[in-house]
Amino acid sequence: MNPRDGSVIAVALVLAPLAKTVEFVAAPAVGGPDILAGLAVCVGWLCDLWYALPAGFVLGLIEDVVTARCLGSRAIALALAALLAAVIKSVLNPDSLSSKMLAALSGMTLADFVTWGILASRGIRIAAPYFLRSIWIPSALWSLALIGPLHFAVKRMALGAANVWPSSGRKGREAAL
Amino acid sequence: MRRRFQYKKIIVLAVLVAASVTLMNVTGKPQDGPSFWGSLFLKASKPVSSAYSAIVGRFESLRVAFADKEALIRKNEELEAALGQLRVLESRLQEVEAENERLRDLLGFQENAPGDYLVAEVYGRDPSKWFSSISIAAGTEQGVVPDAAVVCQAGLVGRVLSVGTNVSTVLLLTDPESGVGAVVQRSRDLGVVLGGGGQDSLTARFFSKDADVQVGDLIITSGMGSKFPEGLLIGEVVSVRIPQPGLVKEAIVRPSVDFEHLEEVMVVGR
Repeated sequence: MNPRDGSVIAVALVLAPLAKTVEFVAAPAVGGPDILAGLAVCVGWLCDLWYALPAGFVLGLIEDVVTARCLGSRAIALALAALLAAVIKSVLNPDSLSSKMLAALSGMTLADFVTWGILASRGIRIAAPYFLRSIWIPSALWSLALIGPLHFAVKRMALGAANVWPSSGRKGREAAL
Repeated sequence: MRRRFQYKKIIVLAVLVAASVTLMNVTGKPQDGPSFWGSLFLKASKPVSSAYSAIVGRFESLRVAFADKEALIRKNEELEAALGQLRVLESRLQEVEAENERLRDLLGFQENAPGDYLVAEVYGRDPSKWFSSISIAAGTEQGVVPDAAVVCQAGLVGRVLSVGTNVSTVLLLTDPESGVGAVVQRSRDLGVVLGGGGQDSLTARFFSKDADVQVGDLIITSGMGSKFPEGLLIGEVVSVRIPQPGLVKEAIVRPSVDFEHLEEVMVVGR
């Protein structure tokens, strides 16, 4: 794992409980933004594909622990969202905001549908019209709005954190200093 | 010649004095109103004097304002502070009035319904978009036990899912994991009311496809399963359907409780 990937994952893991707190305090659960899923997409976008998968899983697990219901459902969903974001990044122009928005939309959609399916398979049935109207569509729209600021914040903080990471090269040490 | 010239001087002087005296007499006379020339002068000078007065008045008020600026600023700050305090007081008063009204309603419900009730404040909601639960400020110390029914004056809210020392989590009727034994109040047909359809929609699934249920029927708890007391209002039927031929009848029920605006609830004692 290079310092950049490590920093991105560390920043995302630090931000995750904070994001959940913000969601809980300042936004309605239904119809509000899914910041944690947005973070998973950011991690997928900024990290190597094989690090994005476990990082997304841990982010989802944090949500599962906070929610304390159906442990693992969001972990799998966010792992897949991060993975999809990493795949999309490798195919599209990584510097374009539109590419990030497409990744966010796709990742959020995949995460929501996977969660819905897992919950249904566990006997927790959420009516399709309600899921589409009140869960998926607001999340998808929020993801489009959030991905830009989230990506910027995570990238900036990760760059700052990467300077703290030990580096073997002289350049790296100089950067750290 | 010189003497003659002196006479002329005296005559001119006398004429001037006489004219002056005459003029003084004429103008010094008391009159009923201003003279013609006076009136004309007054009329002509009125706009000018008005404008002058206005300008001078403005300058005077500006001078006073600048002179008292500090005092005015201080006064303004005092008034704004007083206004802010009044607004806070007004807001608190409204809040207390609303709380008083809600508690009166709860008290009325408590007096009319059998059993022991514990009033608890709602202080949090489920942080997940997938589930519907609330946190209440009452736990084992207050006598809350798992699976206890939770109600408000409008009807059934849900049941206690987990209990802490001073806090508990209540599973709302609208949660996808919620299921309540129910009965149509009019026809007494039995069924089960399930969540998962959002905050304003429940699904009542009846045990018989011939169940007598109509739009507008009230759905209440059946008391079966021992989790919920019998007769608590769940909601009103808004539509009826049979999903597939030969299967059970379903009804969409609008919950009687406004789950978005719960502030106090009552935990039913066991």
